Amino acid sequence: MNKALNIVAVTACSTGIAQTYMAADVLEHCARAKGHTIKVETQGALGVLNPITLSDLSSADLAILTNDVAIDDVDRFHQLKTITVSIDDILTTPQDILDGLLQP
Amino acid sequence: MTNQITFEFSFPLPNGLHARPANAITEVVKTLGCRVSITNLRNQKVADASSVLSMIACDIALHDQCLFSIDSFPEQETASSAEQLLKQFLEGDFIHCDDALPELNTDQKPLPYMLRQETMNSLPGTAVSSGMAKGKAVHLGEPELALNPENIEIGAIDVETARFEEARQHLLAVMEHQAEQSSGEEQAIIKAHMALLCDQELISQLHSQLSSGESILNSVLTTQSYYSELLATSKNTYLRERVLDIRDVCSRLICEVYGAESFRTSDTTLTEDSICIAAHLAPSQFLALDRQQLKGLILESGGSTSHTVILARSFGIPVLAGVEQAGSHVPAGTACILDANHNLLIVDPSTAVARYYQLENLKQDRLAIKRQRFLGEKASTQDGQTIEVAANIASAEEATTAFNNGAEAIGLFRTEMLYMDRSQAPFEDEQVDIYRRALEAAGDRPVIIRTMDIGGDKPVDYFNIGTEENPFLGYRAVRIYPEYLDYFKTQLRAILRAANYGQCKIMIPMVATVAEAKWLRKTFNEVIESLHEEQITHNSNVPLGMMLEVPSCAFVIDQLARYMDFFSIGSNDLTQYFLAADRGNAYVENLYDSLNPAFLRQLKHIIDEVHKAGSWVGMCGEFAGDPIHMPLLIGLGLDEISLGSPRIPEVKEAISTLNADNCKSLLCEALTLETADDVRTLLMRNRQNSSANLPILTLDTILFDAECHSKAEVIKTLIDNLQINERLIDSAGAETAIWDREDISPTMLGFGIAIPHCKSDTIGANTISIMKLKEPVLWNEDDDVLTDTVFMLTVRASDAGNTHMKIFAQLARRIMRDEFRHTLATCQSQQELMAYISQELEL
Repeated sequence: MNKALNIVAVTACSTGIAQTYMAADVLEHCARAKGHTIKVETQGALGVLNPITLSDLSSADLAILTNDVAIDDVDRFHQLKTITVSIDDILTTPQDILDGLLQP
Repeated sequence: MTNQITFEFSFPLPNGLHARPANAITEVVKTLGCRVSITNLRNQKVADASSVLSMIACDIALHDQCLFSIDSFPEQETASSAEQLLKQFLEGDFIHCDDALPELNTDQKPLPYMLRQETMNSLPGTAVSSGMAKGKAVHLGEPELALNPENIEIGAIDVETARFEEARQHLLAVMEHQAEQSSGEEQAIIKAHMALLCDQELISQLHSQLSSGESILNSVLTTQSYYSELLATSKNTYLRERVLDIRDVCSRLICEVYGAESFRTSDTTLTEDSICIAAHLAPSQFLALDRQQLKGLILESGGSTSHTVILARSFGIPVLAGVEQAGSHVPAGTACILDANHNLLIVDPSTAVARYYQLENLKQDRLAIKRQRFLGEKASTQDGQTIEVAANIASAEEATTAFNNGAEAIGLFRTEMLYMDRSQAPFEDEQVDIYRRALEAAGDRPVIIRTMDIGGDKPVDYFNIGTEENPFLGYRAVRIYPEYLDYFKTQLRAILRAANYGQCKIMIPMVATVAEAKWLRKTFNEVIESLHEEQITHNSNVPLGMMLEVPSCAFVIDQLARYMDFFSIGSNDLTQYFLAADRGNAYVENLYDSLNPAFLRQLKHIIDEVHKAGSWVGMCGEFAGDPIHMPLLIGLGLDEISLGSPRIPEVKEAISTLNADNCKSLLCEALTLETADDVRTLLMRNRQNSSANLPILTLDTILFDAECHSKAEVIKTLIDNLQINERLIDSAGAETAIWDREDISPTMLGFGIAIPHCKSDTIGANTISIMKLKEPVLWNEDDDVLTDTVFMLTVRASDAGNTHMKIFAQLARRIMRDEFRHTLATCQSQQELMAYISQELEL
């Protein structure tokens, strides 16, 4: 039986114009389809949008972080189970990433 | 028994041992009185150092280790002194016998991405007439033997031998004369050819052929092919190319014996789109070509001032000059592309290269159509300030082309060409005819004829002006007029006589003092007076003006204006005299910069002074030919600018986007800056800001049913479209920025969608471009996913965080949604697509 997770995520890409926001959209859409709760912070050309707060962190089960470019303030997630993925993987095989979350 | 001294020597010349340095060695060896041989230790070939051909056959290349052996008879004490002399020469002057092959012109523009990706067989040259052309290679003037070696008449052996020797001696005398008449490289080559003609091996080879009863023709041909084959096997490209020297000398020998008709020049009837290749081409030969078929011209010789080049320019035929060995590298009938923008002749282009030029042509056509409205219109800013946009020409023939390009006048008709390449000055009537043709082509539009600028770097034989150490500061232009007064008066008379046929003005180059201006006015009046006395029809109401190119004039404009009716700033010379920097000197060319604020302050001063004096001032020179500079030139309040005619539509378009008041404030700001680079940045920023307010998505940025065959074509097409719509600051830079992003990882999304994007200084207006392809293309070579829809996002570097960025982010999110993509796929027109996306993104 699938467990509903409380996920936080950060997306960022090299130019910060397109893929940051695409990946955020895909994660939100797919996670919710599976019954999870998700909050995605974007670090792109618009700066930091939808920032993850301390209370988001305290209630989260795990974090998904993109690894295309360095993420600002990554220390926040040290206490949390963290999954690092590339933007391309999010855009092309988002289901695999979400299915992987439930593996022990 | 002989004494032998040997020494080794590493060969120092970059092009190997070819005819010219070999000739120098024989000259030295002659003086030694010893037999000298050279062994190339790399291939063990041995040469007699008194024979040029023998040495060439040794195939000595740069850094080859060579063994020099000097033999002398024991009773002679010469060997050791010979060794000394020879070493002295080899280690001293020898290195100057030859120069490295000319390097690729470093000024060449970087190639666009599509061409960089392709392996191209191309030859560099210098564009002397702009444009692009495609056609089959046609060789002009390549001699073809008209004699039949099978049935040539043969005399008795001694008769043939004597006849050959007579011909050889006569040819030597002719070459000697040519060498005296020439200088520099040309002279060195003639001397090298003379050495070939005196080469002992060559002569004995020929004589042995003759003594076996062969005809002179056959003897020469056999000897020619023997040495040609020998050289053709050389590992050194330069030596291989010396085959042409042998062929040249042998052909001349044959003509000497059997007459000039021994060779047919090739048939020059063009039957299809052609790119003609010639060593050099006489104007008459050029004019004989069918201009319907002649698309481009390649000249092996350099020089941009020949009459042929000027004619080609006037007919709008692109020309590359100085394309070395084009004749031997490009077989007749090969498909070629001449690209004068990138100074390249591309031989046998691949499909992708040909496609690039097809797309480039398409872009040029679209730009031309877009700028067509400026052809018949006077240049004017948005708020109605006008500036006359005129053309520079160097021959009457070019006037018509200039007006077809939208010129409002001729701002500079250079006349020195009329005096060059001939043995005496043009007669008065001849000149009247030339000026008249230009004036008639102009109708009621003004033509400024500049009197001859001769001397200094533009020498003309019959003006006996010697060479000067510093020609730019020397005896040239107006400064020689008092000495060559007859020539000057003849020219003034001719212009005044022609002036009845149009709106003519006369302009004098290089005036530096008020005294010169006074003298000019006085002489001008004398000429009018004499025409009047002789009752010769003329127009005495011709304005007399001067070039402003010597900085001293800037401070006496009020006085100059007493004698001169108008002024034109020669920005090239004024810049170099003002900043004391020769623009041809690579060490100081960074100083030669017309955007230097000091120079701009000088311009401001000059133009204000001229207007204060109630006079008129234009500018002819490169500074006036760049659309980027228009805000400054408008701000300065110039009455006219004159430039090369191909850029006139572009310059008029640039002016039409400006606001005169803004230009004045921009100029004021530029005058307070400290460096030329600061001014450049200011202009760039100004340009970015002027396009910043365009809407992010318009019908013009949506391309439907596009026919592109590759990802590279898609990107070029989209970038070209942005350029046409004036949304880019630097289109090549924008294309590179897009590719830089693609190189990190291809922006293929799946669902048949790709989203190339960049954030860059090269972008003028934030833009969403959308392309729907007729046939899908492969976006990523590593997989087989096809793309048929492309969203290209081009973002200004400075605009992070603004409203446009939100639109881009919103679009990115939308693209990930099924219903958005589905609706997108069903849109049947640009309008439908535009409406849907505008609604989704709340534009």
